[in-house]
Amino acid sequence: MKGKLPTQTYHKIAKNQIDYDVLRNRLKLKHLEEISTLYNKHPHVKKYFDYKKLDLKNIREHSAKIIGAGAVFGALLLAPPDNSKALPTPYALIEKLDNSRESGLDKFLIDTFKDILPDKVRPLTQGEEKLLEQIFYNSVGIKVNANLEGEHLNTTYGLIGAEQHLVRYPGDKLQNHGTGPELASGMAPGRGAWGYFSTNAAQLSDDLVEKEKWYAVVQTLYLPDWNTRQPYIKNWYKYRKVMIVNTNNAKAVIATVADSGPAAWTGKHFGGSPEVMNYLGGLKYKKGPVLVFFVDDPENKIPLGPVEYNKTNEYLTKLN
Amino acid sequence: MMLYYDHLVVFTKVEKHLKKINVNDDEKSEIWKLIDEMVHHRALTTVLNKLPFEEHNEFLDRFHRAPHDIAIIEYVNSKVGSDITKDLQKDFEKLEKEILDLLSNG
Repeated sequence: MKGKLPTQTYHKIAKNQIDYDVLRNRLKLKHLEEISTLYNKHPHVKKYFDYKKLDLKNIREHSAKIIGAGAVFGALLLAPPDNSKALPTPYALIEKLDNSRESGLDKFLIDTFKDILPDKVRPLTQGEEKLLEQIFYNSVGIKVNANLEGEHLNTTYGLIGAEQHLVRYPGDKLQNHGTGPELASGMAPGRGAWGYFSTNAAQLSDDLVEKEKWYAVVQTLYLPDWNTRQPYIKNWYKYRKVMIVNTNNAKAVIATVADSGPAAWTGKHFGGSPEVMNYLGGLKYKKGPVLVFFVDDPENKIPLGPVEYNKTNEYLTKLN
Repeated sequence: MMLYYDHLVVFTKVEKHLKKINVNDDEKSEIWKLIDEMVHHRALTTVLNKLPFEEHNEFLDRFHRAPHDIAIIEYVNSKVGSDITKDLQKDFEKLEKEILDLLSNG
């Protein structure tokens, strides 16, 4: 038998466990301190939230519901966000697309993003999302949706951050993830939100290798109905195919959702595997604005990895 | 993004520290939520400490109605006569340091 016996290593496991428990207890105490500070100094705030039946710990869910309702009914009932731009007509866009044959599709997309998207990332209106869906289908040839089968992310326009490789099976090592420069990103110590990709190395198919290579991280934990629609919603998001587009250079990749995050307090809204980030912006690219839409590909015809603009017709043929 | 102060909260050091810890998904979510809730309480404390008492209800109504509305900052600025984002940033930096101390100590 190679390596140390379990009796020689159990104390290390126990140490990690204690570390987590200690950490959680410390944070809980600090958390209580923050609550006390607020409500001792401003007791009327507690009364206000009680009256409104809102617990501050659920403020993200509350906000997501309001934003979601605003996106659906925005065009009819609510005023558009202050920083929204006047959207170009589809006719104007088609004309621009036709004229982009020489200058290139990437330039057309970069210019269009500048025309449509707000200067700072925020949840887009339904009108903005619908227009982008049309643009992607007509230019790139891939059918994407902000809302697919009734599911919608809290935002489709946000900041993406660099993630590490994920452990694919028990005992997986970083050096098993290829030889590219992306290995420098390292490997996360824990598993992704959906656990191991396979039970062992032998079961790891080429398809699963691709899924880890081109994985995306989305904030499922902040979805307004995440806790009430289990296990359906967790299964729906597992390996869900998304298209991620860097709005600064129009580079796009198809990825699968394989982890939940990042935490809201990181200032980011999505995450990308080392390969995803390298393609979107190069090895030094750690954070930037992106669009994330679901890929409507029930027959799994669109391959993971970089979206090649010269293959628009190929994508269209696959979908039709 | 989802809350009017989200863009001011960037706990890079806490994120780096937590990425090294091997926890399962439930444990990770619990830690993230505890920190997130601390931010909510700290943000409210910071704003309400600055805002005149007679404005508290109006502010809470705006926050309850549209927690994501960035215009809340302009509203608060107009009532306090200074830039509340500077106070929020300062207090969030302080909070990150306090959390880091908890993560680092023994």
